[in-house]
Amino acid sequence: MLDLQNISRVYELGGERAGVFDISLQVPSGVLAVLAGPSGSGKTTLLQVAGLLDSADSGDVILEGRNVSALPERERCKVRLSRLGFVFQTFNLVPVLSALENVMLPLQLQGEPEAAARARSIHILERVGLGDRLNHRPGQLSGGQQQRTAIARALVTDPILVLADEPTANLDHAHGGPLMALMSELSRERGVTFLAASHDQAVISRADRVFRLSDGRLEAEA
Amino acid sequence: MILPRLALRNVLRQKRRTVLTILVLVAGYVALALAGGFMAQTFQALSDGAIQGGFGHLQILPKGGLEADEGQSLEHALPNGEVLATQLRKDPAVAEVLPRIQFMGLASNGTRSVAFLGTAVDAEREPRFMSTAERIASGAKYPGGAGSRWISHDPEAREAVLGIGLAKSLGVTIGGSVTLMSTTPDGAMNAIDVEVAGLEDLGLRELNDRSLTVSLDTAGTLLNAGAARSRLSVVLKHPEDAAKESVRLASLTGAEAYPWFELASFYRQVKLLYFAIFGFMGLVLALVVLLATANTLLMSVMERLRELGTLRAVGMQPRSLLVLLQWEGALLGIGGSLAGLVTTLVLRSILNAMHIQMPAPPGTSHGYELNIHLVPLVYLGAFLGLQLVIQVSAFFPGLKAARIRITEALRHV
Ligand SMILES: Nc1ncnc2c1ncn2[C@@H]1O[C@H](COP(=O)(O)OP(=O)(O)O)[C@@H](O)[C@H]1O
Ligand SMILES: [Mg+2]
Repeated sequence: MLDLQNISRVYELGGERAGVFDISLQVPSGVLAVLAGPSGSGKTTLLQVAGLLDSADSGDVILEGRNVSALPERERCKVRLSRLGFVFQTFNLVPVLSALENVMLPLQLQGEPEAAARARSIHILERVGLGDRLNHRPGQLSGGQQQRTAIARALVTDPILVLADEPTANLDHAHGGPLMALMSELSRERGVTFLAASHDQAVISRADRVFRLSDGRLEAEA
Repeated sequence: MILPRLALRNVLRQKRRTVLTILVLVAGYVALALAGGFMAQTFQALSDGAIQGGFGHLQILPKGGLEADEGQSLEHALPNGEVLATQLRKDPAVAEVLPRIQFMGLASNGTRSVAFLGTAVDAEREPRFMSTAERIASGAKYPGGAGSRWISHDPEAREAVLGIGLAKSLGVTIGGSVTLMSTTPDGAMNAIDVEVAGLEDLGLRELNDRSLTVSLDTAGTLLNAGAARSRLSVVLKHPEDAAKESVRLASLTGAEAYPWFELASFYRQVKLLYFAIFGFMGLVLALVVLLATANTLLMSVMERLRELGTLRAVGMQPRSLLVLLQWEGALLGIGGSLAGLVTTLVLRSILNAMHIQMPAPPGTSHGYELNIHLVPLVYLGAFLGLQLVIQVSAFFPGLKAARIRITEALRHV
């Protein structure tokens, strides 16, 4: 489903080479996979390449059998909009839009009519347990609620792959666990693949599949 | 419609900054609209002055009449001017034809002679369209002007209206008598006595010191003019057709014809001067508005780099961010212009109610009361002008937003 082939993305800072080096991995459909590794090991870098937010220096990103690494930015936008979803450590909701409007946003960018977008968004917000918070602005929501809104926004377009960078890092333990449980349920329920980066053991323990990074290189699978 | 909605929310987010920007826009709008209204008042007054001061909407001149020395003009006159006038009065586009003879000579009070520039007009028709009554009335306010009136329609009457400066140097008052001397086209000297019927203030000192108006009959006797006329001032039924009708009437009559605005050099000079002054002011204003909005929008882009990066990550095209910033600029502009319009209307009423006396414009002899006209076109123009500047200024922040690197923007806090 997602096939990374010999991906290198290298930052050179004062003679130091950092980033990710020659990484190949396959994420099968419908699983919750985790990129594990200590801070600075290259998880974010790899996720950004896989999510078409950044370009690799070398290597290919194959999504659903299609090589998407060389697409122009216009096409990458379309792929992100229709096939991918993103969840960030810092939630990254649009502060001037309500929870509902945030979730509707990608659908509206796809050109879906307002009424249909609204119905689909309400439906998924109810699924993540925010049916009573539709018109709250992000600032009026707790961290856990914001992250669930972000998950709803990532899933509302029915993507095949959701990339989540440290989704629980800004949540306390009481919220991190349930959030991961929700993601794992949703991946099964909707057949969506999740690729989450995390160094949190609670997250790693939920994974169907774990890839360990260290100093920008993939360790042999456990 | 997601972009305009996002833009509106963003504009409303930073209330204080938005209000400050809008204040700059209001100042810009008010300056443009009031200056425009003032210019409209001035141009209106100047064009009325030129048209009703004698030019009419257009004038028919003999060939080469524009270059000919005015005082000699009967030699270069329309030989059958009066006949031509009668014919032209039947033209469907023409409302009235006011023939005139321009001549010069000496005016004497018996002991002292002063050179004059004379105009002879149709005593009966002229006041129906030209601003003779006002000029006579303004002359009546001067010493010796009491009883100032227009010259008689009676073809036998020998009367004149004198510029206030000319009357003063001759030492004559209303009811007094002056001898006019001039030369006929065949070179003979001739003289007649005229009674001073009125004084007139033409607004320009040079004119007041020299000008003298008599009837065509009086001038005809003095100059032995017959049907010859120096010029025909034509009043049109549709004044806006002056340029078009000039061309048509020139070819119809075989003479030359010019619309009033080509003849009124004073009008053109003042117009140029005002356009230069207010054009420069507008340029400075545009620059201020450009910098103020560009700054506001650029700040708002820099503040929401991570948000913009998120929008791009979710799948928004770079071009859409350019459009988003255009919307934000558009909303600021519309808000600014609306507030500016209200402010302008209020300020205009206050300024006009204050009856402010404006100093005399260059070359003229009296001031006037400030009366800023309400010209919807000026308000629309101010809005469109501002909006154009704002959309241009929103382009640079928009480009900045469209060009962000997603990974860097997402790292931004
Ligand atoms: N934009 C960048 N410029 C220079 N170095 C970078 C940049 N982004 C990441 N790095 C370096 O690449 C390595 C991997 O970073 P990152 O992918 O953020 O790791 P992780 O997400 O696992 O903490 C780190 O050493 C980091 O300093
Ligand atoms: Mg990271």
